[in-house]
Amino acid sequence: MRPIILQGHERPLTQIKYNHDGDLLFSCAKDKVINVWFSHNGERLGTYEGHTGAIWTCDISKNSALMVSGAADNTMRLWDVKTGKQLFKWEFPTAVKRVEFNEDDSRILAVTEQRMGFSGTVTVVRVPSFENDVAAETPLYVITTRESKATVAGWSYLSKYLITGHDDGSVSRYDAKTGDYLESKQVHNPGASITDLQFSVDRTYFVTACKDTTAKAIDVESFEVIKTYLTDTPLNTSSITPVQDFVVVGGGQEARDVTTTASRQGKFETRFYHAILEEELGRVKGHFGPINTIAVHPKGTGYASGGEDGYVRVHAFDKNYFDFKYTL
Amino acid sequence: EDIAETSSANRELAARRRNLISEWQRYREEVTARVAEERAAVGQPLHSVLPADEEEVIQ
Repeated sequence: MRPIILQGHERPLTQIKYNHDGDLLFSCAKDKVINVWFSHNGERLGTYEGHTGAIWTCDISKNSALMVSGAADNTMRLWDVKTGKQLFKWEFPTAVKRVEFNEDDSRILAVTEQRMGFSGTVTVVRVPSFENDVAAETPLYVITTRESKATVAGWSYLSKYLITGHDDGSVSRYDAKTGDYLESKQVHNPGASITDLQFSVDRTYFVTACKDTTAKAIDVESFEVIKTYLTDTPLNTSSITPVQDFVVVGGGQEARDVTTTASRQGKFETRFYHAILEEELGRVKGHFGPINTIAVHPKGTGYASGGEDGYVRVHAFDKNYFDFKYTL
Repeated sequence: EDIAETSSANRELAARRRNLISEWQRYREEVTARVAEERAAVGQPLHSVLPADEEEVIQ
């Protein structure tokens, strides 16, 4: 089936996210605007305006009432999804690169950028109970990343662990109640940045995307790498499909590197891997630049990809996708 | 001879895949059972994939 192409951004996409029901798709880009779309027809429902810098990230509460966003203007903002009104704002000394609600939507984590004079952090705040809940501005705890800055982070099942992916290819695990450090592991090539970290539906394992051209599935409890997906291009994003056992990854050579390689092919395709067998199953073309972000529909009926080219492509899976089975 | 070789290679591949899948299924059953216990202990229901129902289209 032909994808629906969403043309609402003038700059590269940074993160796209479905809401819990999958009827809405939120897109963040460097053009300072967050858009929300009906995922089934690509109609734009609205925009969230207020940030004064590139938007890096967003997340939506389970009941789709609240959306939280993080941007290069050093703020994290909470929005009323329906009205588009900004409800709350947190200020940080540096850009906010990743945000996520925990399982019961009582807390939000924010990954903040490392800049001269400021260490990178993962800051956890309480979701405000009412509009002028100024006490919610004070973080519950702040994790300061020492070895290497965190680039991505997320909550495990039951908000038990807080997992971070780092700029040096390592992953760390913290007690999500207190923020206490538990352990770190060098799972990717040293120095290769982890660019994405997305969880399975039950949040018992997650998959990383890394510039070392691999994606890895890691169990949150044992903290062992359980699967490795080998590609031939630096990865920016990876996601796990419900229904079928697939892992979807995207990336591609960055524009500034394309001319330095023998082949001018940028490898801007979305790739599907069998999650268990680690074998590549297929590729989907379409973007004119690297794929920065992929989100899979929570009901497993399709996926969307956002590119450096400024487009979001929304794909519905064909019937044969659901029928696919290895003959063993 | 070639045909015999290919078919034995295919059999090996199929056996390898079957092993990986049954190993995964065992692993997932273990995890699911453990997490179900942990969730029950704190009174939180299990997470599951929502059914892919027909989406309501409002014109």
